[in-house]
Amino acid sequence: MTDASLRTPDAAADSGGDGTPLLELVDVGKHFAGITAITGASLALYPGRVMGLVGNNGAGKSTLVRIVSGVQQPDEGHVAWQGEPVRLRNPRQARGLGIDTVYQELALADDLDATANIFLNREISRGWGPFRVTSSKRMRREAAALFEKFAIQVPASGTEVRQMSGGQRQGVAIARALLGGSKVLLLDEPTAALGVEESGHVEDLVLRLRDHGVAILLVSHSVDQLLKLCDDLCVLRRGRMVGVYSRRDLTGSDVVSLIVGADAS
Amino acid sequence: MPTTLAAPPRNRVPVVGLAARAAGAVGKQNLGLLAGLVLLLAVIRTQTDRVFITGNLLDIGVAISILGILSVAQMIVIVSGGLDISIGSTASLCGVAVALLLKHHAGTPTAIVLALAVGLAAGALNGAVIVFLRLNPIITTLASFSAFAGLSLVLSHGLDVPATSHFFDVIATESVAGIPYPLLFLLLFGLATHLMLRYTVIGRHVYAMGSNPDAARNTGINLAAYKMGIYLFAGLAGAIGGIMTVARDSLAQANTAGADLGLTAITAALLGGAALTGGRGAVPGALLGVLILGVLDNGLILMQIEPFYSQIAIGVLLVLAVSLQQSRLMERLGRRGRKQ
Ligand SMILES: Nc1ncnc2c1ncn2[C@@H]1O[C@H](COP(=O)(O)OP(=O)(O)O)[C@@H](O)[C@H]1O
Ligand SMILES: [Mg+2]
Repeated sequence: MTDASLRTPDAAADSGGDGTPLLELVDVGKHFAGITAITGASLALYPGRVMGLVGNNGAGKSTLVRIVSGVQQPDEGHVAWQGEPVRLRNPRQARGLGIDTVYQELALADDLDATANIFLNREISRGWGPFRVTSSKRMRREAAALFEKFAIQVPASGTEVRQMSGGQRQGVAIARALLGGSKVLLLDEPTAALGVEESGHVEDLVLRLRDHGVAILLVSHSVDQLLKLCDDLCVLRRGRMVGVYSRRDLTGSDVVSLIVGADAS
Repeated sequence: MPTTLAAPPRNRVPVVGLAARAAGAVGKQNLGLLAGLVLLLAVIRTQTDRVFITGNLLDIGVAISILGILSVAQMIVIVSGGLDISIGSTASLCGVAVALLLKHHAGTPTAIVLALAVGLAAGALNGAVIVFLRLNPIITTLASFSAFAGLSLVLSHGLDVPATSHFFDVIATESVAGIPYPLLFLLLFGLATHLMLRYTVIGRHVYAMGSNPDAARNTGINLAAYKMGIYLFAGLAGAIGGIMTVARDSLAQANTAGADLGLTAITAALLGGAALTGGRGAVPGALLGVLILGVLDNGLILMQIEPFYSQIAIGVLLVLAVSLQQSRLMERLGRRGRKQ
């Protein structure tokens, strides 16, 4: 398959956005000691749109996510934030702009409840220095309001996140990013460890995030899930970008053949 | 925003859950300890009627005061995901330091301040090795456990160092509002620590770093600074314990008593529900753990059973308590009270 025809911001034209993407990757590439992890990747994320990222193992999905989240720097091409080129030097800087990655294992302290987790290291408090006292009631109220807004079904307080289901934990991790004012959320296989019902909850949450104007980059292996959630789909194969496609133009079997490549079947 | 909050989704405690709610107030994980303590007291009561005499209860309080301070500090270290095996040796070292200073005619305030500084230095050394050399806390404090004990033997030439101070006599013999000084120190230290852990931002971060260090670091919490602070705190507690020991005995002994005390402090903290995996533990539990050990010791004495048996009993108790805490029973108890 040739890569030119279907490539990039085709989707942007009818995005419903104002034309300027929140975040854009332009011909981004990353190499490790002769291995090309990814090259020629261009995609644009818009508020209220879900971009799927799909490809077989080793295709370069995680590398791309790490570039967008500031963990790794591209050695080809560039990243633009709201139209301006930026260098994302580290995750903190990316988070400062409003780009947040939800890694479930990294994000939660199991022995704390949902409120304590989403406010971790940005606690509402009174007092000074070592005597800063947490304002638990206010944090609980704000957490409950946030959960309500996005219909995340978790008890705000009193239950350690250890005791929560995988879907609930994912909800808490996402809420933490939202509380930080994230405009772009990177979800790397958010339902990989979840059962069918739990996955459904997380998928519903992704749709609600979209409805609230969050830009989402969703890595997933499930074609069904991608077709259900995505507005656009970015396909990678062996370190190369195959193209970005509008969801409307694709069927499940299209997606599968894009992933494995025309010559594979 | 407030309008949408007319009926916030919060935990509704069912009517049948009243007991669970009461349990929540005590801390569900402390219920087992409380039950154990009551059982222990009941058994001792069948053998002797002297347990509940006020004088005896105060004796228990004084007897556990030093251990209590070390246990509370140890509990914080454990909650943060670390361990301080050296805390007993730190106490010995600071005890020898304060006694030697008094012997060389330092004033009591000077001697106490310098001994506290020695404790802080010991804690800073532990913290620095753990943070900068990235050594495991168990290895680090096992090493300093040995080194500090050795240093106190070197400084004291292996001999008892007598220490006389009017202030120490007061602490050892007098009371405030009926509460002996050592017990008062424990209560104040425990209360301050409890408030810190439970209500401050620092306390919350200590739980977070023990529970999931990666998550804590990811939110920007400075783990190195917290670790440093935690081992400094343990060093300070060790110093307080060492000074109180000298005040009680009017002498410093650089023998194995300090080491034993340090290990018993770990035992009490674990008995009290602190989890070596980090993120779990609290002051009330640690104090209950200490109290159980104190009552056990006291009971064996009252019942005129050889005190050596208490060490066997402590071992059995620790295994029982921790296996109980690990069992699903506690988890389920917690869940039942908290279902939405
Ligand atoms: N840090 C690294 N060092 C060397 N090779 C890497 C590194 N990260 C990724 N790669 C290589 O780059 C390719 C893409 O990897 P990755 O982005 O993890 O793919 P995916 O997430 O799609 O499975 C793989 O061949 C992988 O081995
Ligand atoms: Mg991957």
